Amino acid sequence: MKNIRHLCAAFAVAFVMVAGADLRAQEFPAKPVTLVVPWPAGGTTDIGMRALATATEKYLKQKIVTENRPGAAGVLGPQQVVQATPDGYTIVQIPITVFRAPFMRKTTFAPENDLTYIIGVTGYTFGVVVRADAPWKTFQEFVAFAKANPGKINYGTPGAGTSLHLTMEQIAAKQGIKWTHVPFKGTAETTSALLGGHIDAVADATGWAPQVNAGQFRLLVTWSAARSKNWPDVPTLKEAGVDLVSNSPFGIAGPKGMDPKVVQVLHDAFKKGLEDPSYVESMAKLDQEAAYLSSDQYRKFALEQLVEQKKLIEDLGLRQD
Amino acid sequence: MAEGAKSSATGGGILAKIRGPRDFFGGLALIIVALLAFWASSNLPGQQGFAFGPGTGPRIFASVLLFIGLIIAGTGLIVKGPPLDTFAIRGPAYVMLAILIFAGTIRGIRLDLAGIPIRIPAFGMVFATFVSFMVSLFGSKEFRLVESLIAAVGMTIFCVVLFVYLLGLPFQLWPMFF
Amino acid sequence: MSDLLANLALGFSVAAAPMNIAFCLLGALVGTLVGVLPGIGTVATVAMLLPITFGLPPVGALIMLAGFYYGAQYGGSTTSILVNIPGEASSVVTCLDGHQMAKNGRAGAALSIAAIGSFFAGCVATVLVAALGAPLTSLALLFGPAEYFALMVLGLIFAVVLAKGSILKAVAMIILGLLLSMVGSDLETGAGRMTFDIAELSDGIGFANVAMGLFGFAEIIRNLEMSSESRDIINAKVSGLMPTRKDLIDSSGAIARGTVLGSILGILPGGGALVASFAAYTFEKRISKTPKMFGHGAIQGVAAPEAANNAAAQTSFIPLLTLGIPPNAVMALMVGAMTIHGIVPGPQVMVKQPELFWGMIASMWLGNLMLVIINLPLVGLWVSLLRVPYRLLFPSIIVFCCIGIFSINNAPTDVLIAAVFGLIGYWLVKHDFEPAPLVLAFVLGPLMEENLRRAMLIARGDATVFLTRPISGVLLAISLILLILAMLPMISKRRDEVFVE
Repeated sequence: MKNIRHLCAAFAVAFVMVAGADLRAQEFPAKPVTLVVPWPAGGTTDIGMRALATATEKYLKQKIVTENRPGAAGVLGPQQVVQATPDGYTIVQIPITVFRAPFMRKTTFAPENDLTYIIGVTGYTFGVVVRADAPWKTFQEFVAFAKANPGKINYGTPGAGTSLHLTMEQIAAKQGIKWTHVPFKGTAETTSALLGGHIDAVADATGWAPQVNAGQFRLLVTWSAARSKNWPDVPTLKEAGVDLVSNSPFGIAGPKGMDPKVVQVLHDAFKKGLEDPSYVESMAKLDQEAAYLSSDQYRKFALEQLVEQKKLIEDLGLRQD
Repeated sequence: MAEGAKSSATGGGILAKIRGPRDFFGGLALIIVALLAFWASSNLPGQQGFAFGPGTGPRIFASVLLFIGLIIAGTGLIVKGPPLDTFAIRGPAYVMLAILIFAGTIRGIRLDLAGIPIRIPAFGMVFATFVSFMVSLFGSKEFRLVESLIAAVGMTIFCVVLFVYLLGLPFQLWPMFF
Repeated sequence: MSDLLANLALGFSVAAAPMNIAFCLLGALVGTLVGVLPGIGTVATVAMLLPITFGLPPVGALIMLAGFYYGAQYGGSTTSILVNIPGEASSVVTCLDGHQMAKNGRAGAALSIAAIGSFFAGCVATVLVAALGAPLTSLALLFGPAEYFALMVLGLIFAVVLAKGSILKAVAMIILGLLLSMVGSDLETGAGRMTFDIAELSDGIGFANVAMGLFGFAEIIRNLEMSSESRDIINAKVSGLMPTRKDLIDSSGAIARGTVLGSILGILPGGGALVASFAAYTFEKRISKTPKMFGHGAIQGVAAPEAANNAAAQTSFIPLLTLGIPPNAVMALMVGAMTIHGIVPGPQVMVKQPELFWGMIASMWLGNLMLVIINLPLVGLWVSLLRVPYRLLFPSIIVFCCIGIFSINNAPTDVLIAAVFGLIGYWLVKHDFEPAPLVLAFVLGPLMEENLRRAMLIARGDATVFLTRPISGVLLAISLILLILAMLPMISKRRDEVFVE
């Protein structure tokens, strides 16, 4: 027993010494890159990121291992990656919640300093749906009804503090509406609640697509800057008279202090991955639209988001502690 | 479960006055948990208008738990019950140690606990599996070295083949340092 | 009726294609393997397998994933029976009597009856899905937040009745489970509750961590303190692998009733399938002439929940196929897979791609057949695993559990949390508290609280909504009656005790 303990100690010491060896000396990437996806396996984001990883492997000429580390609304993964060695072998998807979290609760890292931004990838298509037999044919009618009947409308979202929830409250603030937010856990729950008539409307990413296409739901509005390719007849929020765009763009980043050359290699590979036909096809099926940003643009975007989200959270009074 | 039959009787003193020590201490622990829950949820807002608020649920259930804890502890004082069972040390200690080693080494740990940096490099799955298997073996009094070593090697190989190659889970196999 | 037959014929012609049978077999096989391994994340594994299916024809891919799903469901009960580790919430109930049977040397009978019960339930539920899928959908939609809240209350009452010891202690465990389930971000406001600002706790404590700890690790620690003779009862006398004629007669009613309960409750997305297995157990215990046997190796206590479980697993496809609503995480993955294949799951599938829809239904039946074919011969193998000396068996279980828990979120903290629950579980047993009600309440708790709060939001704070809505009113009334029935013996016992004093 004692021997084993000694052996372990010896091993530990040896390993720690080897740890000094520098992997950056070799041409990047010399081994598989781990892409942390801070969402559970199998969600839209996970499937999209896996498709991107598969498409990018060809150009990076290395395997990209997708690892799911869900938690804290997508903030736990980045929080852990921040502490990894900035050698480019550990990178992470950065959801919009990373820029929101510092203003909602205590966090252990500062997105403006602790991350190296690599590339902006894509955003979601959000929209508001009602039942097909609902009296509102357009978003304007819906808003007018909500205005005339304060506190009558119940809308569901896949969770509190999501972009869906925040944007609905922003709309309410701009239009002088009072409506009630009913939070659910994910799209499956919101869909069945709306189908069963337990709520009046749902704000969600394209989880409503099957019901909209089957004619059970009516899509009133999408929140992207331009009309969606899959539903070209549906106006955007701007066209419906509310000056807002909400699509929660996300990208990829690594820990702070990454070698610019490594960033360049990763950026170039992912950019080609984004343009790869296999990825473009998956994106179309997932109703996501590319929103490429270069490393510098993405960093700038992040800084803007931090200002914007702070104001948003404060205006809506959503700070928790 | 009939552990009462083979458990040893516990000491005198104040404890002797407690007629059902199992229930008494069980109830006591529930009371402590309830108080802890009260404290942990004290910063949460409660009822606001017709919204329930995040703090309401924990406080309601903590109150109920406190109440039940009091009844159980009270029953333990009055009603005669089985004596306290003895707690083993060896088994739990080694099993816990084995799990700790697994958790600490599989992916490495980097965190700052109250200002003290804790750094464990990622030893990977082969190391974690082998070592925690070996350590947990000590939890049993029937430890046999040669047999155990063979089993540990076999188990490690089996796990690697099964999880990494057959099921394709993204585990790091060998030690790697960040 | 002739429509149904024609549709089923179409389905079987698709499902019986050699390639599809092979996919089904493969899925069921891998699923069984993953299900048997304690804790290994079913969702994580499906996610890994998903890219493989991208290259397959859509029908084949879905048949394989569906096979995987039943396989994992079924495999979970094997672990519950053999080593008392529930892989998911619904098999917590199977642990109660299944593992007791194994301890009595009847692991073979328990495993076989689980396989037979599941097969029967699967056959019936498949027919139900085919014949009544569309009309049953409307039943699922009647369930709004108020109804789900009432259903969860009923579920918690079932959890009380499950207990074999003191009712009061069972209630205490339920409350404790509810409290634990509240750790994490609040659904309505996003506020961290009882998380002590630890990011790892912000999404709450995982079910697998609690179950592995309270059942798996605690059981090991407890076994270690026993002398090898008293522990090795398991190894000593293993009577026949197959259930006896008496077993079959005893459990036939339980299987039938479990199937009915499971089929109905399985339709409800969000918790229905879960409540099914312990509703079936409670029902059997209530109507049994020997309720004292439950918890000590009653074969009905294995047959009923297993049948209910599997029936629910089949009928939970109804909301997926007719509405496109995935009732659990594995099915959510399947929706993802369908999307990648360009199939939009939901109401249109049945009309636009009948061969896919009916092919999948036919493959459900085939999948169940495969499971019996795979598992009945394996019973012997599993039972012989119990002959491995415990001193080597338990470290293997520990390592498997650790890897399994780690694989779910790639989080070492999860393993640590499970270890803590192992110690808690050990302590609980020493003080005559049962872990099963705790775990069940832990799973039902969030569903109950969320739906309560949603219902109150929608009703603008009017609590009478739970009584005025008919379904919720009836469910709450049943809960109350069950609770009173459960309390009666306790009250009379207390009275007797007082008189003796």
